[in-house]
Amino acid sequence: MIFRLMLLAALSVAFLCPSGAIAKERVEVAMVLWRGETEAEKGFREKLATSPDYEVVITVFDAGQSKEKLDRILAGLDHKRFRLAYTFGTMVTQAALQQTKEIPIIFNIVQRPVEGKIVASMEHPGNRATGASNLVPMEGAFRTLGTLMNIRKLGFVYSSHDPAPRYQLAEIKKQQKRFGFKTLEFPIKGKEGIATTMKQVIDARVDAVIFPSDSFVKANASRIIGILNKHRIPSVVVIPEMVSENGALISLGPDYRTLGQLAADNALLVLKGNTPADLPVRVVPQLAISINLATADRLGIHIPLQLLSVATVVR
Amino acid sequence: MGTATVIISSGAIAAQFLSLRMLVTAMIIIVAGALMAKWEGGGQQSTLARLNSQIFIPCLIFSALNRTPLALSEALTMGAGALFFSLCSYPLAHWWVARDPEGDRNGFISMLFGSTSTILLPLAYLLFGSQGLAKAAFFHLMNLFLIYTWGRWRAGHPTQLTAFLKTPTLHAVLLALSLKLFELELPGQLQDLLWLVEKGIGMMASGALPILLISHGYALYCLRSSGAAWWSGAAFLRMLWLPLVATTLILVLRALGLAPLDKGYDLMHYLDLRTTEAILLLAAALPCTISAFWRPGDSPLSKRDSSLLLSSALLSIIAFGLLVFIINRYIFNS
Repeated sequence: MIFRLMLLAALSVAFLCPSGAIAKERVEVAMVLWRGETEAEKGFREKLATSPDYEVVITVFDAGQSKEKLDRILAGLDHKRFRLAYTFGTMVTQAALQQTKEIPIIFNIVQRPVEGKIVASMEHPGNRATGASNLVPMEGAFRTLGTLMNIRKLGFVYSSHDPAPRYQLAEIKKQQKRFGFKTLEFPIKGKEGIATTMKQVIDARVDAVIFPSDSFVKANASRIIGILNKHRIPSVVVIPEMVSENGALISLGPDYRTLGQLAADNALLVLKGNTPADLPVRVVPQLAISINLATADRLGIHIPLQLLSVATVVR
Repeated sequence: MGTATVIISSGAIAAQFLSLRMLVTAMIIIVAGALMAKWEGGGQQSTLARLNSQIFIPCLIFSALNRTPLALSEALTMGAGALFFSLCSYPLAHWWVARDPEGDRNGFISMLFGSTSTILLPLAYLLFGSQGLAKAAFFHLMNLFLIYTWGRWRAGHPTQLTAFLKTPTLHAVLLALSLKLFELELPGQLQDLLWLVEKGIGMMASGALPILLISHGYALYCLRSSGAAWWSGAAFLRMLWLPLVATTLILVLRALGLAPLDKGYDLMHYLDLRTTEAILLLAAALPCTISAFWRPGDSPLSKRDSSLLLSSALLSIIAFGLLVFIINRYIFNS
């Protein structure tokens, strides 16, 4: 009798809780990257893996910082196979929009999607692209920098081939009066132009250099930041990896992993049938701070405790 | 690139090590000041005090205030904090002076006020940067005002409001605030010239840190050589009492909603409030004021007041260590 009751109970449980029985829908996502996976993609993968409805299979296409390779990837993207495409950075997203049709695009690490003509507005993108923006709240960034150093002359070093940094430059210039500094622009014209530009930076005797979210700068960061550190010029970046990998002093920008998770939220909504045009672009309003203590020591910069307490520290 | 050797950790742990390093550095400089006094007989105390009050402290305060955004409410909180500390110390000061009816009443000044110039300002800068120094400057200014007025009156000296109004520290605060308020936009070369002047002041400000600590050590040696004892029970009581007062003040500020714990979206605002709390706690560990007794015309210190000062200075070393640990553990990571 007891055995029968137990069998009945087990069958009832199996009947009433069929979650294990319903298979998740298998969907394929193309991940088009410019310079390999970052923390942002980790966050994206993590969030998608928690979905109760979808088993997401991600295929990575890494352009390896080559425009030609990127074009080949986008030309060969199978619209029928992939339910959506994840893109990293302004350049990849712009190219994906131009060179693909129909496939919804979830972008990430695009600082100025409106000015970059990727979306019509942050609230209503209005086309087949939506995602997460790594827009840096510049006012907060300069208040943070104010606790670290006195900046009167700020160098802005960027790649002259990339249009995105110009939008960031405009944001920085808006803060000039309030924080009492002058911005000096230093565009780099290709790899061969690095040495010349960096000499100009040193000759200008800037108090610090700020870098935009720029793939060219990231690719050559060790060389560029190495020169700055040698001349005891602090470097401020928005890509956290530049602090841990390239010796930049401080990174002030949104947390990449959180951005990846926000992009994944939009991706899941698109998979459920929402149109990207109606899904607002996500932003992280809070700054994530990374500090390289070895660089701070080398530059003789004293990091206050309150800043350290909320920062990720690299030694 | 060195990626293999990179260690990534939470800044909170690094903050504990760094604060310990800063405190040890400060102590070494203080000891150097005491040794300097020993070697040359301690005759330069008033010169050091004058250099500090007329050049180094004003430069330090100007360069901190000139570059740090500071809300009026924060400045008022710091000023009110200094007043609150002195008011809460009054019963202790009254008891201290009443115990020696034959003696003078200078004990009021030593019990009511902390040594803000020689210790609080440099420590606030070393631990919390220019943001901390800007806040400590307002605490110091209020302390100075109270010493010149209420403190002197209670100690039986004539008040010196005019002398307070003439202090370079006050002028430095007013100048820095005016420059920030009017946001002068000068033509190119004039602007460069202004920045050059600012840089010069900044250099003197960085020189102020060791000088202030050296003069603290110098004063301690002078006290010891005047026959002061190492231990004073009243100093111990004061060192227990003031941290309690500071903790109460912080809890009251939080309860009133003036220092909310919610991080919100503006991380810097949150850190600003926590830095205010940290400076208040740091101020609670200050030894009795030293510089007030080396002003020309004032009567010399009695032996028991000297012992109070010396003992409180030694106890404050322990108090600073404990409070900085508490600040890192419970204020910034609350």
